[in-house]
Amino acid sequence: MSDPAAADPSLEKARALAAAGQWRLTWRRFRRHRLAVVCGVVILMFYSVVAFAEFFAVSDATRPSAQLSLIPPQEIHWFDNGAWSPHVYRVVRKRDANMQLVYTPDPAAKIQVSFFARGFEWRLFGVFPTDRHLIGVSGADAGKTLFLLGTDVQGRDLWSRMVFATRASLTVGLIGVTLSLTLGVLLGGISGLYGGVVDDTIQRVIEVVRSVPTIPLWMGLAAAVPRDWSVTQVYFAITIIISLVSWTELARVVRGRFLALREEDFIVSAELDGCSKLRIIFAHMVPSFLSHIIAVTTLTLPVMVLSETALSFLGLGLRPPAISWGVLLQAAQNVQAVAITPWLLFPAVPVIVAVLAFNFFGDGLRDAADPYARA
Amino acid sequence: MLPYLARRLMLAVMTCVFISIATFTIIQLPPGDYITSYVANMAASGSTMTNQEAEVLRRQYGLDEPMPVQYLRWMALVVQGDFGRSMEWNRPVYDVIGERMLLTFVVSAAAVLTTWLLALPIGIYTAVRQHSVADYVFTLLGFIGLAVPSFLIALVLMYLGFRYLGTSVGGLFSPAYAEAPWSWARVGDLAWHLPLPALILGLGSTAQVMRVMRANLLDELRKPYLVTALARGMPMWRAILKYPVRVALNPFVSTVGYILPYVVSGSVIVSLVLGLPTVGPVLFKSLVAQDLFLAGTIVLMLGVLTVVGTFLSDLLLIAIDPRIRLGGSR
Amino acid sequence: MHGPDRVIPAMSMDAERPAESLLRVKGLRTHIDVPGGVLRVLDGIDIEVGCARTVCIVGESGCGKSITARSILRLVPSPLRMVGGEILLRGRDGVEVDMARLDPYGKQMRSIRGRDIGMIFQEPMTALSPVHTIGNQMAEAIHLHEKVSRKEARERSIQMLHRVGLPKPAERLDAYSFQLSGGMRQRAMIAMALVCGPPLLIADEPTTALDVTTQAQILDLMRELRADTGMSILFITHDLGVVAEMADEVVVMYLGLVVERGPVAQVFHDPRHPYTRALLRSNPRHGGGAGRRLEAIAGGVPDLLNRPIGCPFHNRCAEAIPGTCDRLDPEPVALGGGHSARCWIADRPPALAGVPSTAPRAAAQIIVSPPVSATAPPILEIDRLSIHFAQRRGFLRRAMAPVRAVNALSLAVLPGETLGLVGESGCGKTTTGRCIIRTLDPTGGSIRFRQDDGSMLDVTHLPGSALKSYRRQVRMIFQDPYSSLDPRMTVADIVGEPLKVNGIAKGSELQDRVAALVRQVGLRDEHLRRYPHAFSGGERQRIGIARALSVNPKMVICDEAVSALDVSVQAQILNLLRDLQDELGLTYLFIAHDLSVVRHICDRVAVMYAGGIVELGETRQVFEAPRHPYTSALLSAAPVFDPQERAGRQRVILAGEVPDPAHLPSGCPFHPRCQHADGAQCTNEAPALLPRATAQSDGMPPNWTACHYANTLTLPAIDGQPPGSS
Repeated sequence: MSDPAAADPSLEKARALAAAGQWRLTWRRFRRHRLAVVCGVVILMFYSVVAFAEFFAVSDATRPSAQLSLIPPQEIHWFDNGAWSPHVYRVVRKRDANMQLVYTPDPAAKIQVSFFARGFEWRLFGVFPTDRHLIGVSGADAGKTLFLLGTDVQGRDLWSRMVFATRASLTVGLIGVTLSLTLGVLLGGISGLYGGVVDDTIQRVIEVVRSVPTIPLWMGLAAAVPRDWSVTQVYFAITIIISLVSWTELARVVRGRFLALREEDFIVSAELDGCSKLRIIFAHMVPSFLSHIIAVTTLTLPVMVLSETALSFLGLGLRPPAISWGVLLQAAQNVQAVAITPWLLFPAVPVIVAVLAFNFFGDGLRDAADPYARA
Repeated sequence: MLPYLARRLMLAVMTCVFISIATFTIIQLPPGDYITSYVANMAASGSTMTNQEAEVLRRQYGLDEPMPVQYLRWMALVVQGDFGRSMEWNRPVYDVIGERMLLTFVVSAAAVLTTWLLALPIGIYTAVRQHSVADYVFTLLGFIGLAVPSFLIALVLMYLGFRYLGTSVGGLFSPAYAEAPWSWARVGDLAWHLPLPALILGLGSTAQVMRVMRANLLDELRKPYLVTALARGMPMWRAILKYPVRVALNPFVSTVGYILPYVVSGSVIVSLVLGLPTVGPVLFKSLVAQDLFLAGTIVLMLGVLTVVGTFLSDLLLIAIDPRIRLGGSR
Repeated sequence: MHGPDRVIPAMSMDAERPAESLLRVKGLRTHIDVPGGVLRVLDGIDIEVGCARTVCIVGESGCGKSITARSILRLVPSPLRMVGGEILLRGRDGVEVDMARLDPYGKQMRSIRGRDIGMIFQEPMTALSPVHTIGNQMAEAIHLHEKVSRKEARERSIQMLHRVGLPKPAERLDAYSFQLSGGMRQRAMIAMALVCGPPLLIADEPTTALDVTTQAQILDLMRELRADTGMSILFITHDLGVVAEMADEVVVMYLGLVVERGPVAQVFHDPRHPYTRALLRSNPRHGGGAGRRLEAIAGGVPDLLNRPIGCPFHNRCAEAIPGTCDRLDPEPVALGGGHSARCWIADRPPALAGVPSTAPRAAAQIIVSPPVSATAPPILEIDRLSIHFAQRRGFLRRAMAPVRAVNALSLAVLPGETLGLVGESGCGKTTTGRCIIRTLDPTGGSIRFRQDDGSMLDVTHLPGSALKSYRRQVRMIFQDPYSSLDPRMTVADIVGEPLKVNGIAKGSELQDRVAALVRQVGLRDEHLRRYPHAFSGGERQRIGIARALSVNPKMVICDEAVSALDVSVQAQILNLLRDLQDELGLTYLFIAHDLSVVRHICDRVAVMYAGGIVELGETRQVFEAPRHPYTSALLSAAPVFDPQERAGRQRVILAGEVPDPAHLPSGCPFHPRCQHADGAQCTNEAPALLPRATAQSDGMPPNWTACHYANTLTLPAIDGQPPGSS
């Protein structure tokens, strides 16, 4: 209790810690999970791709070109005769003896690759027109192409398609989580707060929803989305379908927290202090499980991403011309095709990386969420 | 005890009814019906069908009646053990999915078994040796297992098999046995093909079960009763297996019942990729084609399986956990 | 049950000191690695346990008592590790084995556990497997060490359960731990530990989780078993009363060190370490009656991370010598007769003595509590209050008989007094408190509170806004200093919350008032910006008190407000409560199970049993001349504080346990356990709480007693004053 030497750095630190609020304590604990922090950065990177997809894309991802069908990835050569000069080789299109199309790189024809290159025009935040891209080939000569990850059957650049797919796949998760969070917190909160018949009813509904097998339910609902709906309509329909099931888990967590908190002494004492019901909920109860809810939410996101991918993969989720990771993976359904054009499996990589990152991040967050847990 | 069981049973039945209604509604949701898509398909392949012909077909399947009537009529059949006719296959539903159901069950059971055989020992080991290298390695693997959807694993394995072995690794039978009647040789062929799909299906839940087991056991390992047992002179591992592991396993017993239907429904996508002759591909096609009774039957069966499974596992839990059986502590 | 007469008189122990010791622990060190260093949890512990002797290890929480026990059995939980020392155990063949050198999980160590050393723990509920029967675990203990048939193991288990006084042992063998009551569980635990007849029993706080009457039963049982079997006991406890009851020798621990050791009488009567002295003197039992200010030890037990340099106790020690104690760690000083203390001034006769001190204490401030005017109208009147709960229990949610927590309880609280509400767990005292503050609704009866204008406010049917203003006048202090403060708010916010939400103060006025409150409870301004996690238990309780007082209440309900605290901190808080009462003229309703605390702080006491008051009166009167058999039994079950007294006293040991509030006995709820019950009137007719004059009541108002025979019974009391102070 006595702290005489104000200069003592350890005491200084202890004093700072003593005056540290919940979020600072959480942040301190979270920082100790190195992996979680790294994953947080990865997630940030993913969402910057979502925000500036056009910047990261090399070419328009929607325009098909029969001439460029199924070109293998072009490797970037960073040095030319020891000097820094990133370039790719031009691909030459030939038919072999079996009349099969083959592409061979021509080391003689070098195409210069540059960063912040000019390309197709787009609008930053939908407002400011620009034609800068992270990477591109100098000049828009038809013969000069850059296919970092090859092309698909219709001759579209897979890298650019994956960049745009990120936008759809990761926002479906966000919107879905928001939906199920709203539903879950609302119903879970009502259930935990009022108890009695209301609680019983909501619990029964949750029980029933959970006992319906998830994937057939999704498939049924997704199959029910009319074929003639627009891309946007389908997008929202799928989002709603995915969040239909996951809200139950959130509702369960919120209810449990409410019930447990109601019995806590500091909540009782807030009531005795004369706090109104609203103040007890929003000034005392919500802050004490908010961090936990955030962590659970982070762990729900990857489930959403996987669900969308799975549904689209089956052809029941987003449909072309919409682009998502699942839609891209549809092209890889046929093993024989994949055996010849293995780069079509690339879209699996961002799925796995994103889901892993979300999981590690959420796990670290959950561990740090309650800095007051008495071990 | 009895009133409780009766209550649970009634709830289970009610849930089943709800599921059947939900199923029926969902399948009917898209505009049009089976005949609409049938006509569209015929038009696509060049032939035509007049409206009168379509109406005749509709009447024949009872599709012209209001939905509640269709539902009740179907339920009346189901209760008698007749699941109706598949329009797409033009055969009784039972004939279409009979063998597939059995195979689905075999594959799923093998997957659950794989999960437990892998996950429980690893979970126990990583909990007891918390913070060891093995713990970190398995935790990392577990996370990766959680992150990679099983259909992607299936896809990659298929690709690798095709690329390096030159064969298709999918399916449950060699081509020679695919359509053959049941024989011991066919069972042997099945056993030969079973491990791969079982492993792929099992891996997904392995990560989850492992993590839950580890967390449960870590809680139990902190309880004083383990120290008491050690203070009696029990060897470490024997004490751990007899006391905390026994307690930590209880929650899994309660999942025994519903994990199977869960795996069955999860297997739908993997079955499609691997080309397994299970209900998965049939369900997919029937949903797309609005093959009402076929899809309805499959979803209903999965739902009922879940409900019955949950009920049975609750019973099992009561049987093995004296705290629940004998009225709980305060 | 046997009385304590078989206990070897402590004073004569030098002569009878056994030639050989059973267990000798030398320089035991157990450490824990933390980022940036090593914490010395045990820093060289020496303990010697002679054959057939009881050695008590005593100390406040965090001093390393339990770790000592676990280290001896080589069962330290990771990340703790034993790093040095010898643990010499004399085996059955007379050869000493150094257990510190054995593989902790090897065969030899395993054969020692259970066979040579038995161990029992604090929480019998969690120390027994929830999914295995008692018999299963007992048989396992036998089979591990002896080759016997299953049938024989079962028979021996039954015998052992019978020996520890478990009724119907053959049935209980097949029961699970949760089917037994707390006392039964601890008996079963003891039976399990002793079934292989170990010469040494290590008991780690075996009675801490039990009620005082059950504790008395278990302590008696342990004494009896020791006398019968000649085993030794290493008894770990934080309760000096239990030490006085049980010990032949005492080991006092502080921050992982033995600071004083010696024969119990010497340590109690002539303590040479300032910590031992302070520990003894801060105990409310030491002071005896109410009115005296306790001598608290400054501060709290420091965190091991901030272990002081030099003598670990110097920063709390009133007698520390500057320049010596804060620099150099003293070595133990032998004082003769096995008595030693680790202090620079151990060989100097202390200025302040231990327990019996005939000289009037200069430091002991006598506080005259404000006279409670018997004529002043009560501030709170409770009339025939009943609180029942419908209940569904367990996983199956079976409907059970309603719990009748409080039954027709009537009580009046006088302004300015401290009224103690005392009883064992489950007697309904906390429920009553919660109902007065209206976090629970009464099933029947009324609670009325006197307003400033003298009118009585019916609390039982208050609507929201009126309830809010009522709760400004009656406040509550909670038991658990950890869960009762919102961890997400600063001290300033917590203390200011009632002022803010009631619209009493805001802005700079709010800040000033909060700062004044915080100073009033002994905290400093710089603490205002800190969060609860930065405070120790005692400091948190101060914050809770400041919050309670922020709205100038008239009455405060203290619900076990000091029972979660260490004894030295408890004394600080009790003193603070008393000071605040004098300053602010508060009325306290003091709910507690600890009789010594109640006796120390309360003006009047109400003793509760099974949801009703069985006795009510002036504190001295109730403690010295109880009129209800339950009060008398409760008082005699409490441990004495003087080791010399334990041999001669008379004890009422209650059979059985507190009744289940869902199935209360008919008539007088105490009759099944009462040795004076007549079998007719007591069984059929519930006695009313009436004033019953006694011969002893010299001028004092008579105790109110709910007993048909209160006027005729002669009941033993505990003696009036502690030795020496009368």
